[in-house]
Amino acid sequence: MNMILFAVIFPFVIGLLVWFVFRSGKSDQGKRFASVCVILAAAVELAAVLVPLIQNLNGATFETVSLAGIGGQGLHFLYTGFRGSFAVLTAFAWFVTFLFSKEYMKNDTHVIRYDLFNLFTLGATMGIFYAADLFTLFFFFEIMSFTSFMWVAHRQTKESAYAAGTYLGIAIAGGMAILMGLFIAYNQLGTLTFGELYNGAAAKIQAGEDLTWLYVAAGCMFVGFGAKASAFPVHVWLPQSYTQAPAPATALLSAILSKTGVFGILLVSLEILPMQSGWGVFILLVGLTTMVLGGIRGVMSNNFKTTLAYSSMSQIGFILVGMAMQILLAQMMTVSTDAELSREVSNVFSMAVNGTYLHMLNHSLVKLVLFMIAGIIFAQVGSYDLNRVRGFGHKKPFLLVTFTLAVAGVGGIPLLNGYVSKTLLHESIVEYTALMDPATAVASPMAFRIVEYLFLFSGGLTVAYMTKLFIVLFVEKNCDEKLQSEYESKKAYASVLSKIAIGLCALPIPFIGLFPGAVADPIARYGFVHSGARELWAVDQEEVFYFSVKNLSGALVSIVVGAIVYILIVRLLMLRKKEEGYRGIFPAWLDMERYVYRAVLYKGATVGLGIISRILDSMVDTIVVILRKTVYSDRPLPYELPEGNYFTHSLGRTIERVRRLYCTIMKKDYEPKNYEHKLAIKSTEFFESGRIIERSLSFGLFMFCLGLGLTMIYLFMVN
Amino acid sequence: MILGLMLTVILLPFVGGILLNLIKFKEKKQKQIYIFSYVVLNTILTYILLAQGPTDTMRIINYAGAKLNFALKVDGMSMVFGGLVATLWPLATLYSFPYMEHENNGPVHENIFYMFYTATYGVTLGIAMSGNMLTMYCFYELLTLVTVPLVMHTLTREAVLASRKYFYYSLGGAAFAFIGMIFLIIYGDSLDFIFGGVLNLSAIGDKKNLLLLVYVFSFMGFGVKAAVCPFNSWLPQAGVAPTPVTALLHAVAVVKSGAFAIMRLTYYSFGADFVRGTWAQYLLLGIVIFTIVYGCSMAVKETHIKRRLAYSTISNLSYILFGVLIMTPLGLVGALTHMIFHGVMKICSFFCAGAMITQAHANYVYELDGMAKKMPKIFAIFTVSAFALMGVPGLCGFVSKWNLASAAFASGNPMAIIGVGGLLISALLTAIYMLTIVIRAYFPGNDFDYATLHEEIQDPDWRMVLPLTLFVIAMVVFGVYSGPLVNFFTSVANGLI
Repeated sequence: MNMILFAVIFPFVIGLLVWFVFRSGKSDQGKRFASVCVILAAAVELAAVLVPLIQNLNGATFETVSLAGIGGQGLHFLYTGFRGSFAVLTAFAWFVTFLFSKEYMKNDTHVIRYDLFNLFTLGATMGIFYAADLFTLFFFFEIMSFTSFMWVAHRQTKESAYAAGTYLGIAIAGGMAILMGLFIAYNQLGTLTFGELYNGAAAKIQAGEDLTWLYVAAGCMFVGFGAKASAFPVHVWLPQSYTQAPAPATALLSAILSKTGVFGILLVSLEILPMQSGWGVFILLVGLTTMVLGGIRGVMSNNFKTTLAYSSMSQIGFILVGMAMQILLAQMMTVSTDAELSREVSNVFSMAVNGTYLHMLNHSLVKLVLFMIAGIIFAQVGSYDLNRVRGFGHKKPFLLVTFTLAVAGVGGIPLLNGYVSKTLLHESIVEYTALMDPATAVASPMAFRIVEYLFLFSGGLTVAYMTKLFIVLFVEKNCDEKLQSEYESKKAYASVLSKIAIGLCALPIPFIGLFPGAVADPIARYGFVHSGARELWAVDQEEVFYFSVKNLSGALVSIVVGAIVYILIVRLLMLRKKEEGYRGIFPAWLDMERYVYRAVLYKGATVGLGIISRILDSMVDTIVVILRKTVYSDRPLPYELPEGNYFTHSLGRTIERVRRLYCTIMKKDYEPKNYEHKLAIKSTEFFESGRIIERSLSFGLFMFCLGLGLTMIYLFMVN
Repeated sequence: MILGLMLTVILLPFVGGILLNLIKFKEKKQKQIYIFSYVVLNTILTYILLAQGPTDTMRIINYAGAKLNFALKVDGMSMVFGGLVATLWPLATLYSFPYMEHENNGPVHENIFYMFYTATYGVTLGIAMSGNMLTMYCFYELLTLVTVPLVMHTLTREAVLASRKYFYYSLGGAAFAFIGMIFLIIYGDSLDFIFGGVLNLSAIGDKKNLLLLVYVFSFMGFGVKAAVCPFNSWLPQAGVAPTPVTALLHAVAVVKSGAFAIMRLTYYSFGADFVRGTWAQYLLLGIVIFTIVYGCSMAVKETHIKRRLAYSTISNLSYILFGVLIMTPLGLVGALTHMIFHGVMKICSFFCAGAMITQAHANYVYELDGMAKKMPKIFAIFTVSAFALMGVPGLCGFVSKWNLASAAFASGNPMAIIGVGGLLISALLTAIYMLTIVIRAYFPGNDFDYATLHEEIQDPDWRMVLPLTLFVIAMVVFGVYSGPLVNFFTSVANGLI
């Protein structure tokens, strides 16, 4: 059986199976059994995606599989080492979160439903990473959006419903934007298959044709994919959804689902607008904004999970900046004519590719650890508020080690993984600035120097908010002493399985950092083949001296900035009044979700459309009413109808006379019965009801049918 | 033989309905079996007829030479529409039995209802199998006449007003369509439906603009039944009719007759080549795109469940007309796909709404809080139909919307490309108005007290659930694998069948 198809379909099948078998079971035993089942399923899935990766360690194989006719257009899958590595990461993330869920979701009443949608999401995510064309990508992207919606709505509270509403709204709007972009791309390039798209776009660029529509297509898709990746300004769903979803689901949202968005943006950048500096600058700007804004909000938050959520956003910004550098460097490579320069540029380019790819991997691992730890804290404390969480980590060595590894890893501390990827990204910016030809470049070297400073500043923000969390958990003690002693006495705060799950994710963090050359480079090499067999991209990287003074100083700058930011903002502003504890200091009126998106949608759109709709809805009727009141008004009924007419009067009188005559002849007593009056009343009634019938619908119908019948008879007679 | 079969399937429902009023049934069950059996028989006969493949035009009555005659024929379009109608009618009839038991109007009233309900079946088949404009026009008028009593069924003041409005709108629209017919007699070779149109271009000469105006008139005339803005307001009002009527007639048979008539008018009478690229196409596209967005916006604002679905129908019918107006074979494929798929999706969601009304007496969206726990089957099915209507990949709505949008892009018509934007906005709004129902039913919030729901609320019996299950299967199967069906539509749209 084909491994790719298996990886995509298997989770769907198992999900349905688990649901059908266990859905009615309320017993704890059934739930336990179900959670073991899903762990096994995830393990099988992991094996299924690992096998092809191990078979082709050089990552150069290509394999396509098609399911013709399915879903209208047929689904097509493509296997490359790059995609395979993401599939492994995905399966791994699901495996560890399922391990973790066994304890975390133990007392949840809807755990089977959670498992069902969780497995569906896994299958859809596999479909995204293996998609060989935009249609397949979109197909699974939509499925993933809807199934992951259930994560956010899972707790079924008012807040989670609100968050889920935002999540769904953004996801659907984003999906529609992707679809629009997809149609435009198809219209422009005549295909949706990756590789062919590139060829078409490259041919267009070569011929110097107008690229406006391609930009529109890429922009539309960027909205959709960027929403999943939580890029500014479509990140608004992020803080609430991350807070409302159960912790293992948040870990997946942050570790994997955001990467599907990044993956989509990457494919768009590679296939639809290859090597376009304009596009590169656009992504660079979005990436910078996301990176800085996420960092700032992360520092200013007083909620454990929200801080992590904004940290995710900020790290995605780093990844986007790296992607922008890839595009800019690739563009530089295509225009350079000097062989020596080309070699250097391609070396820097490979740094950017490696850095981006590694940072995606690093961020996934770190966020898996951090969100699972957040889950443990929530399960024990029942809150994410920093003031409640304060001091929880005391006398918990396992938490201390894993948490430190994760925060220091993402903070870019040397000897850990984040340092490697951030160094590569930083180097690529610095080298680009050095190599660029100011005459032809997209911006002045000064602008890129600012980019570099922002990059280091955001690195500092990362250090600052991670330090904040670390100090809250492990250094400070809770203001409530009773609570503190309770925290310290808690030894059984997590099951062995949960610890294994966290440990598995934390293990690679120092490994990548300690042996950057030996581990990071081969892994990163998968990054080279992500764009198919394009020679341009397949260049080798010179050895990077990760621990040279120059590179270490970059990390040092970030750490110093981080320390300063921490002291200034967290210690001085957020902790201004010691007794109140931490305060969130991001101004509420800057909430884009509530004051921009919802306001426009609810107030602007509904009121405006509503007025137009009301007018149009009653337009025809109003015309009819006006006509009825003016030209076609009813003829007024005479107020006093004369009773009877000449005929009834004379008939009544005649009957009266005949009766009188009859009575006189038969010698009976004559009593006048007033037939004249009776007949007059009858006739009035008759004519009134006749008038009513005449005005009624059924009379009209009757006359119509009569006419139709006569016409038919006439037709028969004539022929 | 074929002609006899054609007349049989048109007349059998009439005869069966009239006999229903003459035969005395001892039990309700016998009556239901009788009704169901002649409806199923008619469906089987229709299938046999359609399986014969395309036939020649069969003329019955000639009048004033060759141009005016009654003619019946089966071609690809008839197969599509007739097949849809024949498939849905028995299922809707089955569904209507438990529903009408809830209405409690007394046996005579109910017999009259079923007489007209089944008579509509025959008339709709008549529209599907009409061989020329005159025949279709006659059946079209007849359709209005037999459906008015159905709308009026409850005899409340609201129902009478709604049926009056429906009647006026429909007859008024038909009058405009009549203008088109007259011009076709004068400027066309015949009234027959021939793929590519019957207009005699040499006779038209420099009167092309006049003819286009006439096309716009007759389009809007038939468009009244298809609820094109601004002639749409009869449809939500007609929602006062019993749900089997709203679901089958006002989501499938009647409104699709309007769309079907427009397809005949455009591709078989005037000819797509004649209209393509003219101001008439742009004008009508504008109207239709507006209706798409407008219907959805109204649906979002509406809180009455059935009326909300009716507004959704308005929007979806304009999807079909949008496909027609792209004026390419691909566009017609999109229109035909959406005609069939929307029929299945909308009848399904309407039937679910009907079940909510009969089982829980819930007419408004806010009355549905937490209902999914009480009626799990109905709400699961409704959720599937909601996702299908939104166009989630893997369900049939996605396939038809994809076909429509890709046809619009392939045509290169700038107005059609704007229309794709309309489709996408509409998909977003569809998500809002369908999912608010779903979310309310499933997630009323943790503080919701399920004890406030009535004890006896539960899923309806098999006669309601069976048709719904079949619809869900159809939605999934067509969503996953629609190849042969779409191939058939393609050959229809290219005039091969």
